Amino acid sequence: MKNKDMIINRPDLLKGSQKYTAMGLTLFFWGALIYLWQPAISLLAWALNLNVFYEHMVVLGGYRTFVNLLINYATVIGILAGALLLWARINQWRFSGLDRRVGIEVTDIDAVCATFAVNRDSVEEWRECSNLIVDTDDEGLVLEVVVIDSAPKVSDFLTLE
Amino acid sequence: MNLNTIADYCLAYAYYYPLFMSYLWMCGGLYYRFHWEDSGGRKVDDPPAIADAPPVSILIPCYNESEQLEETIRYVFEQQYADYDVIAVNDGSSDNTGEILDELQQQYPKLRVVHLKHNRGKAVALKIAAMVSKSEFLVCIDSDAILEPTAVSWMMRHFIGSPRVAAVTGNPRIRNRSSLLGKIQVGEFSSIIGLIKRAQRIYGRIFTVSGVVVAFRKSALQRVGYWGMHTATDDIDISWKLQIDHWDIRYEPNALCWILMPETYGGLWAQRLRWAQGGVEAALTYGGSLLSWRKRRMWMVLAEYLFSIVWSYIVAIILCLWLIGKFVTLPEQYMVPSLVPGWNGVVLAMTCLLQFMVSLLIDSRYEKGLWKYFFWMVWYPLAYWMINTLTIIVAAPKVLFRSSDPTGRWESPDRGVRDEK
Repeated sequence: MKNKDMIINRPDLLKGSQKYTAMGLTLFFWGALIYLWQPAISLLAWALNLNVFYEHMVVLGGYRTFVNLLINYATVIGILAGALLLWARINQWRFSGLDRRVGIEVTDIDAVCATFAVNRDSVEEWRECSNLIVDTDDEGLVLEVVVIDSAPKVSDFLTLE
Repeated sequence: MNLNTIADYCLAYAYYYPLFMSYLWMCGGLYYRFHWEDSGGRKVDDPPAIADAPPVSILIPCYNESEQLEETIRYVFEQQYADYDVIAVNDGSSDNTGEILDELQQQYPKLRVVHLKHNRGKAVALKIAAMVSKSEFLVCIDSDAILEPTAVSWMMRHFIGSPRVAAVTGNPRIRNRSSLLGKIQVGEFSSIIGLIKRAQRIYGRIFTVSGVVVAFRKSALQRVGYWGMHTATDDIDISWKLQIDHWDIRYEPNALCWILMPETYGGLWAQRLRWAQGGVEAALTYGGSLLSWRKRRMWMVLAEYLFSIVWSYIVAIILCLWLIGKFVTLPEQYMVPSLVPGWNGVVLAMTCLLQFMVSLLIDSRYEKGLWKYFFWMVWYPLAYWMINTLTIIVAAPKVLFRSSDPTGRWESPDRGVRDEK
């Protein structure tokens, strides 16, 4: 299966209103993103005049706020990432290659029958069928099952609501 | 940021929570990718061979799916797994889904069909299918999803030799990308949902399986009473039930499943609101039972979710205070003089970009050319947090103050822009 066969990309099928709303939202969010970058953009523009940049950012120490901020973030991110990776390593060391918990026995048909309040013979029969009509109550308990294995025509049996 | 007033604390939390979660997800995602995801250099179309492959039933609950069914069934029978059958459940559809299934059965002898006489919801449809299935392993997909031919093989390898694995969730990929909503959801599934799942696997527990493609061990389902019927999202509910019962849930990114997502704003809102309701329900239903040391592995999942709920309300409060402050003079400690984030905003924008780059790095293994969506995706983490805020603010009171349990019945929203045949 080729990925490109699965992808549906038909912008030509969009309605005018969908296109304009999308355009509006895209503009809004790009605006929001650029707004967030504003100090960096201002700085870039400012940096083009290098004397002023040097005076304010280096001599007067304007860079310190940003550097301090980055150091604080890096510290928190380092602690979080370190804790997560340490946790991963500890788990790998403790559990790698072994399952501490014992397996649970495979559910047998009797347990399933008890859960669904149906008898074993019926479930065994239904499991061999390829077409069934099942009536249940609101809680999913089976009320009635009709087997229509051969030449199924559901419309003969069902009255749709 | 000086923390002098209540407003300052709120602003700090509103800003720092998504920022640091983003780095935690990226870190977890990268670790998972390079430590667990390589699969010995195998590609998606080359899953490891499974000796004595146990039988698998692929369950497909269908409700009014006449338009999608034929394609779904056709692809499901392209599975390369050795021993499987397919059980499609017509959940009391009011269109001709039942007739289409009966016709398809003539074409595909391994297709078994169960018609529910009345519409009972996805959970009941899955339960009945599990009851009539002979297999211990059940792969559940939605009726509008297309399963990659190797998906079952990739998922099944986790069950073999790991008796405590109850479920394996696959990797949903968005098919419909015609509109802005389609494109940004490509970004969301890649840069947020995929990263979160990987990072949560590093904690050891995940918030939810993807209901659209997930494999289960029937014995585990039997122990926890199968899928819950009175919940907005059966997948979140079953994930919490299984993990609280000490079962493991794995993520298999190689198990690809192509899905259709809503491409209308109403459809997207309805879907996201339902997801948020499901999360709030799970936290309320199971949160109390997690207060024991034996359940400690779920604490991170619960904490992450509770923090995100608190975050949503704090963001809403900040916006309200800021707006009110424009018209009324508030006490100083409640004043939000400005929403301008300054250098913090630059860091946030850099984080958006970095998160996207990381997801591109991780996801390019499964889909080439994702960079083409860069223009649409790069700001999506901002939108994600906004959608999260809105849906949680609406969902939490809906769940807390509702008068009756949900029925568990829901219809898929729109399936995007497609060429009408």
